[in-house]
Amino acid sequence: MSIWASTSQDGRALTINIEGRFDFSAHQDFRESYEKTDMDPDEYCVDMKDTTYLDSSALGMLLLLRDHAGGDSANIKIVNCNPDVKKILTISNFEQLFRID
Amino acid sequence: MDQIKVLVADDNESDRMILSTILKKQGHQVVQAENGQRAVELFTSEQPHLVLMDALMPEMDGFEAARLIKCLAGEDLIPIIFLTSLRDASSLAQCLDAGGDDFLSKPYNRVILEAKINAFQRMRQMHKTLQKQRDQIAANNSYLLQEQRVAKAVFDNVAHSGCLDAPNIQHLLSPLAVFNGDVLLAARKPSGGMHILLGDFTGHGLPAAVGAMPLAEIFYGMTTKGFGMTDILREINLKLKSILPVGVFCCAGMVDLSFRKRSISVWLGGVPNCYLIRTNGEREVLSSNHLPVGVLGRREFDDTCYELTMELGDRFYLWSDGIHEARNENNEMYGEDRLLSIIDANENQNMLFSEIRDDVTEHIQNSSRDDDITMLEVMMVEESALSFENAEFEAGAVSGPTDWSMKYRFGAVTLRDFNPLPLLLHLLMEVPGLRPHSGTLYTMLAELFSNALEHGVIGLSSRLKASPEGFASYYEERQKRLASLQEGFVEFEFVHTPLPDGGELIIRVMDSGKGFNYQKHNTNDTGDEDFHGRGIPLVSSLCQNLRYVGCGNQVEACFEWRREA
Amino acid sequence: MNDIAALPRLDEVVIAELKEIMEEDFAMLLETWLQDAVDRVSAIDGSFADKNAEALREASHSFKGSCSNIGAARLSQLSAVVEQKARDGQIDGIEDLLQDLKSEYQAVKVLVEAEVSA
Repeated sequence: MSIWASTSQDGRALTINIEGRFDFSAHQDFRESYEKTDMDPDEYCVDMKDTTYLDSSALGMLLLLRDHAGGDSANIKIVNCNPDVKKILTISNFEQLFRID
Repeated sequence: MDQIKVLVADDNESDRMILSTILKKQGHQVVQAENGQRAVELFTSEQPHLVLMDALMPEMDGFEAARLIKCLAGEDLIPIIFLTSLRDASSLAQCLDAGGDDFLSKPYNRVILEAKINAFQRMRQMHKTLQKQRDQIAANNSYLLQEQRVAKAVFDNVAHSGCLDAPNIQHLLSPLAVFNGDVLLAARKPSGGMHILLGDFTGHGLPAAVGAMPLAEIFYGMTTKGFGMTDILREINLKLKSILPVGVFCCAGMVDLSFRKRSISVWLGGVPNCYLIRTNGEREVLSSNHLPVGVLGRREFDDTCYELTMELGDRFYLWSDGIHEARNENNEMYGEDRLLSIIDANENQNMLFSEIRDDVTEHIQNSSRDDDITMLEVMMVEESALSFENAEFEAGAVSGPTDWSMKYRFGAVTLRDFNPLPLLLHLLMEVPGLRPHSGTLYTMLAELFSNALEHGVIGLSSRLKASPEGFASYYEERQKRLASLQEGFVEFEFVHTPLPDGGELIIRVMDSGKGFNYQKHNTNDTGDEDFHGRGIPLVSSLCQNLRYVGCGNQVEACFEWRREA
Repeated sequence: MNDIAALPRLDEVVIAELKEIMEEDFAMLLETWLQDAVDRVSAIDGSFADKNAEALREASHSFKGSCSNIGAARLSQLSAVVEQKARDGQIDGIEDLLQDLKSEYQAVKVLVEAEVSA
């Protein structure tokens, strides 16, 4: 599991990549990925193209990110989910809170 | 370095003298033994911290003495340094076998001796610290385990209880740790049905278990009082949302089973697909269509349920993701496909539950489980098939206060800043049959009260509210008039009468105002703004009958309720 | 045996160090050694006469150690050779070796006694 974040050139968008299992062990890294940036991005993108698995604590972490990004006004998209990951997000009806592409 | 007590065992007196003198000069206390036997005796009586032991001695040699001393020392670290001019590997190995920690060869070198003693001193200190910490950890751990045992007993009473043992329910709970994040609750409703809730909190262990307490409290408390499933879900959602940190929530499925109506209402938030399996093998798949509880605020929470008929023998299956995500030794998840193939292969529906359980158990056989596995089957049966253990429910449902009336009059001072609605609603909720209608009754009371207060007691016209500016000034004026209210009253009268299959509640509200021309409204002329402004159509739609009497400062609403058919 | 001859009879460095360590007990240490040595040498003699290789090994091993501690390097080394023979069970025909050991002992004894009375 490894997590890294990159900022777009104009500094307005933050992309967080998650590689491997996204579970409780990712807690610290995931949090740091958006808290340890000097930018105040308008848009967040969680890229799951290398994410193999996601559990309920990861769902909790996504809610934390949403809270950090402004709660109901947060602009967060979750992209490149594999079918397993997508299924978990769908079961939990997270498309009501995030843009899932 | 601290001074220590050293036991020197050597049969050669001159060697003993040299060694003892060196040690004394370094500040240590010395005890001398001239053979192994004596060394063991002195070890017991003097309890030295370090032993310098000659290998070859009369009576008992150093190897045997070392073995006995190590044995006597138990788990205390007593270093034994062999004094030897033996050089060959097998002799040295013999020293180590006997429990020796190091060697010092003759002729003695005091610098080397001092270095060795210091090294062992540090080791002894470390060992002591380690022992102390270990004992501390062991003590803490046993304290923690004890606490957890007590807490688990409480938790089990709260979280896995109710009527889970009813003959129409089969359930499986496999705790991952002492506590798990899964909650399984079932309770009979006073009206005869059954509520079942399966919850899976984010994470595992104590943090996950904590949220289960208020959840179970609300579930049982409200079910017993006769509240409906959606009210209970809303309350649970609100409670969890307010107490749990962001990121902790509860995936849940809740079922409201009506034996008399042969129907089932299902609310699913964040749990895997659930199945209703008919006696003819037909399967209806219910997908979770809501966010888990504890995520959304009061306003966003959606309590829409699936409503299905359920015939005798039909079975409903509810589970946490623990089954779907159960991994085998190759890290493959059990998954919905395996689940469906077991269901498809089933021949005797009475066996399906155990077939699923056994298949999942076999799947994870050689792997360590990483989620809590919770599953429940509930079957539609004749209500008479259930022994009603909680007989007081039924008695309560029928009895409770049935034929009663009361008047409650609020004077001017009270009306300035007291909201009487919770108090009034609480009184009504003493009638078990009214509990499922708490939301409706609250709306009625709220509308009637604000009419009486605003248009009656303080004489505001609802016409003011027609424009946005007027709306603001309406509330401004309301506040002003209330604050300086000197006289006036609002009076509530409740009359409850039992009916053969339920009851009738009459709510009369009278105020000290001058009333209004209600004649045309009672004929349902809906064109009047004054009428609309008073929310009267809304109240009318909620009850059987609504009419104004007297000069328009009295209103009477009639609300009938029936026992669940 | 040339190696042995190269060793000091009574190592002055060791003696100097013992003086420093033992201070006023230095003479007593040497007297103790002298008494002890009488027992050890007679034990070596006796066990050889009894053809008791194990007893000979123990006696010579012990003597080797105490000799080395007071700096009698040659005597310690001779004891080591006897110990090795005894350990190997080859104690026939070591009369010459034992004779060397005993004459070395006599020589060391004179030197030690001189240190005591110094």
